This record gives sequence, C-alpha cells and structure tokens, in this order.
Amino acid sequence: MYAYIARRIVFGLLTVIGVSIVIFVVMRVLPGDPLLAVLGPEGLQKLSDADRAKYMADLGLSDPLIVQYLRWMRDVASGTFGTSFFRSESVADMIVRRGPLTAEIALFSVVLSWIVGIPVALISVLRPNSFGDTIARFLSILFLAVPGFWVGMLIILAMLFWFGYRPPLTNIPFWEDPWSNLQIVLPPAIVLGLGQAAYIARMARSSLLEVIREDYVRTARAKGLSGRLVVGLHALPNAMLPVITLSGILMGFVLAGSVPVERAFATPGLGYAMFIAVNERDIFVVQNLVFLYASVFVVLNILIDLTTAWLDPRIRLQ
Amino acid sequence: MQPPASTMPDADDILRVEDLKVHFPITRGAVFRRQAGAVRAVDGVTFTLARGETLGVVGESGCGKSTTGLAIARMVTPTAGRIAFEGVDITDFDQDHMRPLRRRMQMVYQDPYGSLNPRMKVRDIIAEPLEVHGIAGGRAALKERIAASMAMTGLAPAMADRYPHEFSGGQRQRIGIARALVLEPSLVICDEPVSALDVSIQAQIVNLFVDLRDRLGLSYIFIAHDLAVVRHISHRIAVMYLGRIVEIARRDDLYRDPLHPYTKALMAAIPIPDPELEATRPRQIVQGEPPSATGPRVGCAFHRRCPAAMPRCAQEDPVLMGTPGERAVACHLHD
Amino acid sequence: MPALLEVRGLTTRFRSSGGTVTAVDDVSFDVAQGETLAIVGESGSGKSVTALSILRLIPTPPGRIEAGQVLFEGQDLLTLDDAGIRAIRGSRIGMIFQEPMSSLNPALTIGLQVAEPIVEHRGATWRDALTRARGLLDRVRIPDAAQRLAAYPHQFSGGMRQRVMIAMAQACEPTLTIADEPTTALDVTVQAQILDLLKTRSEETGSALVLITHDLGVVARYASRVAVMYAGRIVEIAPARRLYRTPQHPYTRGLMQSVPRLDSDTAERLVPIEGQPPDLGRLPQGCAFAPRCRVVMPRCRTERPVLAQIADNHAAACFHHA
Repeated sequence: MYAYIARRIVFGLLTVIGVSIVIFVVMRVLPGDPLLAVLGPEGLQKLSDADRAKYMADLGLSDPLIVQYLRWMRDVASGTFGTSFFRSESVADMIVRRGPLTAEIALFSVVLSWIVGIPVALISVLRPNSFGDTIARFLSILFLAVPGFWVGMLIILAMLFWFGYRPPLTNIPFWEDPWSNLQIVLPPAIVLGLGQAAYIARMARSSLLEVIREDYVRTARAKGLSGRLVVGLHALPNAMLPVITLSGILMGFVLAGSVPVERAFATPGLGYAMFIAVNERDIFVVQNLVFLYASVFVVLNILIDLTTAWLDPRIRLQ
Repeated sequence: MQPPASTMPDADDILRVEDLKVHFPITRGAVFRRQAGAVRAVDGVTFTLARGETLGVVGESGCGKSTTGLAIARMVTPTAGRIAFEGVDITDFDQDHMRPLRRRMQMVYQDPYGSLNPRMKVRDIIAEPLEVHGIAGGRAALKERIAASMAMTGLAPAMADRYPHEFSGGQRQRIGIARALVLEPSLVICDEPVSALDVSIQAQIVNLFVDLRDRLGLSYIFIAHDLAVVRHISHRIAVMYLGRIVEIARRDDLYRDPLHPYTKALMAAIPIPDPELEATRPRQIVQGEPPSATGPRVGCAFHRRCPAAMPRCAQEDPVLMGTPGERAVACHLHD
Repeated sequence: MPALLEVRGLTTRFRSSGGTVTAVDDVSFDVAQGETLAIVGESGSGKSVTALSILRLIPTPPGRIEAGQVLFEGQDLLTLDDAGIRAIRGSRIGMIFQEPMSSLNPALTIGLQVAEPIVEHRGATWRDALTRARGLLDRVRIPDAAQRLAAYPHQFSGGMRQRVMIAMAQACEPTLTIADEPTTALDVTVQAQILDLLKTRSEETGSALVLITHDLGVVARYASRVAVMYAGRIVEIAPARRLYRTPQHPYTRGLMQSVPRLDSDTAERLVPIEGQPPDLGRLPQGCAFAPRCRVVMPRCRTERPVLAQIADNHAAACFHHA
C-alpha cells in the first residue's frame, strides 16, 4: 500500500509539472497581443517600438521562454502566483479571496450529486422497469443532454420572476453571513450538482446491477439477510468504488462548468474571474488559474484513487 | 544408481526437454520496479517423447503442467534448459524461427469457446492456420482440406458455415482439434482438452484423440489434472508437483504400483464410481495444500504433506532417478 | 418417518428473448432426516437450478418457479412471505456454492461473514457471534482461527474459502445443507479434504445433505441415495449401491460406462454416450434422451415417460420399465 501511495504521488507530481509546461506553451502560442488588452486598439497603434519593448520587458515577456517559465514556477512555489496586468492584487490574493466560494460550490455540487444520484440508482435497481425507474432514467438522460449554464439561466429566471430572488453580488464568506453566502452558492451548486447527479445515477445503477448478480450477493441472500442488509452491506459498498472514481473524474466537469455557470449567476468566484481574465487577455491570471484548476483536479484524483484503494482490502493489505 | 532419464540419445525422439525452467519475475518498488523474486512455475523438467507416443502430464493447479506445455510450444520463453523438437534445438528460437515449426507442433486448449473467434465461421477458423502458413492452395483445395479436417474430427462438413456459438462444448472442442490438425502436425500439445466437458462428451473426445493418433501417427503431450482421464490415452505419464516431475512411468506400471507418495495421494483422492468399493477402500487423505512457488525450495517440496516423510526429506531435495524411458521417481524412499 | 424435505412437481422456467426454457421440469424427490442425497447430472440437467429453487434463490427475472411444492418440515417454502423464507435461509437450511473464489464478499472480513447468520437468526450480539465464528472456523480446521477472523477472503486459498463457506452455512446448525458442486473448482486432494469435512460436519450437526455434483465418483463415495437428472427431469432415483449395481435408465447406464475409472485393470476404450447434450430450448417431443439412446423405441419419440417405481425405493423414467 505504501509503495502504491508513493508511486501515485510521484506520478501525480510529474503530471502537474507536465500540465504546467503545456499551459505555459499554450498561453504563449495562442493569438492575442497582451498589450492590446492593456492599451486598447488605439493605444496599441500609437505605441512606438521602443515603448513596446519596454512594456514587454516590464511584464517579463521579452525574456527567453525558459526564463519566463522558471520565473513563473518560482512564483508558484513561493505562493504569490505573479500579479495581474490590471489589478494590483497578486493572483494568490485573488485565489484566497474568491477561491472559497468556488470550492464551496464544487463541494456542495458533489454532495448534492450523491444525495440525488444514489437514491435514484437504488430505486432503479430495486424496482427495475417500474414507473420510478422509467422516470429516473428519463431525468438522468435529460440532465446529461442539457448544458448546465442553460439550466442555470432557467433557474435564475424562474427565481427572479416567482420569488424575486436577487443574489448578493459581492463575495460574502460563509462564516460572516451563512444565509447570504448560501444564497450565492446554492444555485450554481444545484446546476452543477444535477448535471453530475445524472452521471452518478447512471454509473451507480449499472454498477449496482452488476454487483447484485455477483455470487457473494447470492451467498448473502442464502444466509437469510433482509433485502436492506443484502443491498446496504453486501452490494452497495462494492458497487460504490467505480462511482467514487467517476466522482473524481467529474471534478473536471465541475471545474470546467464553474466558468459558464458562475458567469450565468454572476457569482464572484474563481470561475467568473477566469471568464473575465480570458476576456481581458490577462495571461498571467489565466495561466495561473488554469494551472490551479489542473492541479486541484490531479490532487483530488490522487486522493480518490488512494481512497478507493484503501476501501479495497485486496489493495490495502498488499 | 542409474543416470537421470534424459541423457539417453534416441533418434526416434520427437521431443527432448532437458532441465526446463520457466520463472516469472515478481516486481516490487514504488517508482522504479525491481525484481524481488520469481514464481518458479517450471523448475527443472526433463523428459523425452518418442514419435507416436503420448505422454500424459498430470498434477494439480500451479504444478507447472500448463506452463511446461506453453514453453515447449514457445508461447512463453524458457528461463533455462533446452527444448529440442524433431532434432532441432528451439530453445532460443524467436517467433520468426518458430513459424515454420508451428506447422509441425500444434496446441489444443482447454476452453474450446474462448479459443475460437466468435465472429468467424467454422470454415474460416479452420482455414486460418493454412492461410497464415501460406499453404492455402487454390479455393477448391482449401475447401477440400477443411472438409477433410472436419470429417476427421466428426463434424459434418455442412456445419462449416456456422459460428462457434451454435455448437455445444464437445463440438467446439472438435473444431479446435480440426484447426490444429489441418496443418498435419507431428506433435500436438493438448492443454486440459477435456476438462471443461461433461463426462459423456469427454469420453467422445478422448476416443477421438486416440483414433486420430492411431490414424495419423501423432505424438501427444496430454496435459490434464485427472489421473483417470490420462490413463485412457497415455503410454507414459508424468506426475508434476510444484514445477517438477516427481514420478514418470509407463502407464500400467504407474497405476498398478505408484511409487511416489504424492502419486499415491493423488490416486487415493480420486473417488471410484462404485459405492461398495469406496466403502472398503482404505482412504488416506493428504492434508494441506501445495506450497507457494515463490519461496525457497528446502528439501522435498512435498515433505510437509507427505505421510512417509523422513527427517532427510526436510533437508535434501530428491532428484528424479530411475530407468530412462521406463520409470523414474524423485523420492528418498526410492533412492 | 416423515421426510425432512419433500419436493413435489417443482417446475422452474427461464424466459429470454430466445424463448422460454424449462430448466427444472416437474421434479419430485424426498430427503430424509440426516441422509445424504446426491443429485447428479451434466451441465444443463437442471441440478443447480433445482437446488436454488428450493431456497427461492433463482434470479427473478428471468427465472420463475412456476409450479410445485417444496415442503420443508411440513411447510411449503414456495408460499412463504419474504420474512418467512428469510427465517429458513441460513438458519434451517444452509447453502454452499460452487465458486469459493467469488462466493465470499471481498470487502468484508471472514469473521463478519461467518458471524452474520448467527446475529441475524439467533439475535446474538456481534461479540458473541464472533466468538462462535471462531469456534466454527476451528471446527472446519482453519489454522489460527482467532487471527483469521480479521482476514479477508483474498488472503485464503480456494480450499480454505470453501471451509469458510461450510462454517458459514452450518453456523446456525441447519437441519438441511445444500451443497451445489462444492468442489468443482478445487484440486482433487483438496476436494477430498473438503467433502470429508462437509460429511463429518453434517454428521456432527445432524444435518441432512443434498449434494449437487456431476462427479459419479464423488456420489459413490459420499451419497446414500442418488437422483440422476437429464434435461430438467429426474430420470432415475435409487439408493446409491443399488443404482451403481443395477442402473436401469439408459442414460444412467451410459453415464456409468463413459466415466474414466482408476481401478479397471486394462486401459480399455471409453464408451461415450453418442450425440450432443440436449438443447433445452428445443427438446424433442418424446423422451429428451431418445436422440442419444441405444435402446430407443418408436414410442420414446412421441411420448414422454414419467418417473415410475420399478422396485423398492427405485424409480426410473423409461418405457423399458413401464
């Protein structure tokens, strides 16, 4: 098991380094002059070559790529992540300020996806081809097919018309005003959560259907256990392993989805910040946020792999 | 003391296996894998097979009987030892060198369904080896060969256009045999070819193997876990335990008078289909299970389970000794 | 003496897109207290489905028990409600399955799995049940039983797992144990250990044993009575010695001749049963064995013989004995 953990962490680290290189190269290759965003089209036209060189040098963009890359990595390692073109705050400050909101949304959405997905799967499996199963399958396909931000817009419109919902537009930490904070966080979390719940339900359903055909489930029934124990103790835990793994992969869905969904709800989180930064061609911010998202994804998936490995005694006791 | 059974040269031998070893490495390590040990699946197997002879190889799971078969067919790479087929040393042959020899040496597997491509018609399954070896000939010749091969194994040529799933287990094994024989091999390695079949069908297939051997002069290595089955087809029988042959003898000698305690235990464990006989049959059930093939080999591999173990057996590993081609046993009781 | 188990006209069918298959067709037999009945047959004969039907463990759908009675201690198991059948399973009737590798839950400890029926049926605390489980593992000769309680199935060999299955099936001292091909996946030396253990344990607990197997040697060694199944039906049933000495049904005779034996003096040629095993989806109109039978009569192809008494305790379904 320790060897497995060590191997997973080393490969995770290598993945993060690889990701940083890919992001860095892509950011430098993509079209779009950073100075265009800073100075506007007119400003850019008036810019003399000497001034341009000076600006580029100030921003560190005229150094050889390897130097730029190493400098970025130094910033990452020191925890400052560099600074934005426009704003005085460092990217690190921005992450600290806006990050918790996005993390909250992600967390709530994952919890919600399980709270909704697993019972739906259980209904499907315990009463196959029943009315409940049909409804569950219809809804999960619906949510798989519909983009999250569109559902988000519908929810906002519905709440606006019927309840006069107006979420606070400023960032309110949970510990200061939980109610206002939840008003900000819950709607995007629901949108992202329902999308995930559809995947979770489908995976849990097929995984459960597979596991309840296993010989050891038949053994459990032959022991005279109640249906609840057979499913709850013998089938469900074994069926959950692939669902946990899927949940980790869906983190990518949550992180990617945070951009359009936070934009749709005007949530002052990192996803919205990323949207703004891309529009402003604020490459330092985009580069760092993409890197942060990728690292979070890698780390979470390592944790999930280790959890599932630990849950399986065949791996844990190796 | 007699020399080991292997050192007698014999021009009639179709196959000679000397001190064959197949070890599978076990790797450990967090990031960089290093070899931490080995599973000694086959750990020093020596025998010869005469032309037209059938050697039954029996033993329980993990004794290395199947790996021995795979190593001879060069489907796995031997770690040590020599394999000579029709006088040619094939130990170090790569796949390219093996290809022409595969015509002469074919395999029949246990799971007739798993070894047949479900998307191919029987005709194409049987034709495939001919095409691989570029001896298909013309369309008419090909068709004739397929029909002949099918008829030989008791399949109606009209079945050539069906798919494997349309056949029963016994018929699928017939297809597998037809596929092996279409190349007219001289040696067929049969890896548990009847273990998955029902008794009534098993008897059909065993008889088919016997008939084909007598008609085509085939040599077999017939691998099985059932001493009662190999008895009906083998001239000689090798009993394997933990990667080695512990006893090898002519069939009637082995069944009349098994020498190795493991052979005796194996026979005692097989119930005889006769309740009256079973009621009076002295029953000595050997306890325990075979040891792991990864640990160090100290003394005789069987000594912990052996009812006749002596102090010496725990320290000294017995070697296979006896009359070549007739009888040899690896046991201190028979040194 | 009333029989412990009376199976009457049991019929189990499986429905699939390809049509309906009658896996168990009007099967009747008795099991007396403490006796060992072997149900022997080849694949597709319906022997395992019979065993599963007794405890209503047929996967439904596609399977369904469509007719018959399973009277256990006078009570019809097929008409019990869910709680009623659960009170029988694992408590009054223990079951052992074929695959020791997959029949134990890989994620739960051995101790928990063995103790579970004791908690469920005896209302014992987990602590008491685990103590009992340790004693049970001792009795199936698992070394270091106390430590092994915390072990997981993957740390056991196939033979050891089957010992665990025996301990588990007999944890509540059932009056009937059904063993469905308990040693098919095991090596012969281990098979002998397990079957001897199963037999001794059943004698110790006074449990009757229904042994499902395809191995005529195993039947000869362990069973007192034998039912032979073919294509979903019992074709012959008799005390073991009588069946082996004077088999009456042509299928039983064919089976006896085709099995390779260790003890005959010369290695004579095997005598197989010609033809292919029956396709349950397309059984002939008359006797299912007719296409392979050496002594087939015209009547056999149109009419289906029923199981009829031909001597004391000996019944066969064949027109030659009608």
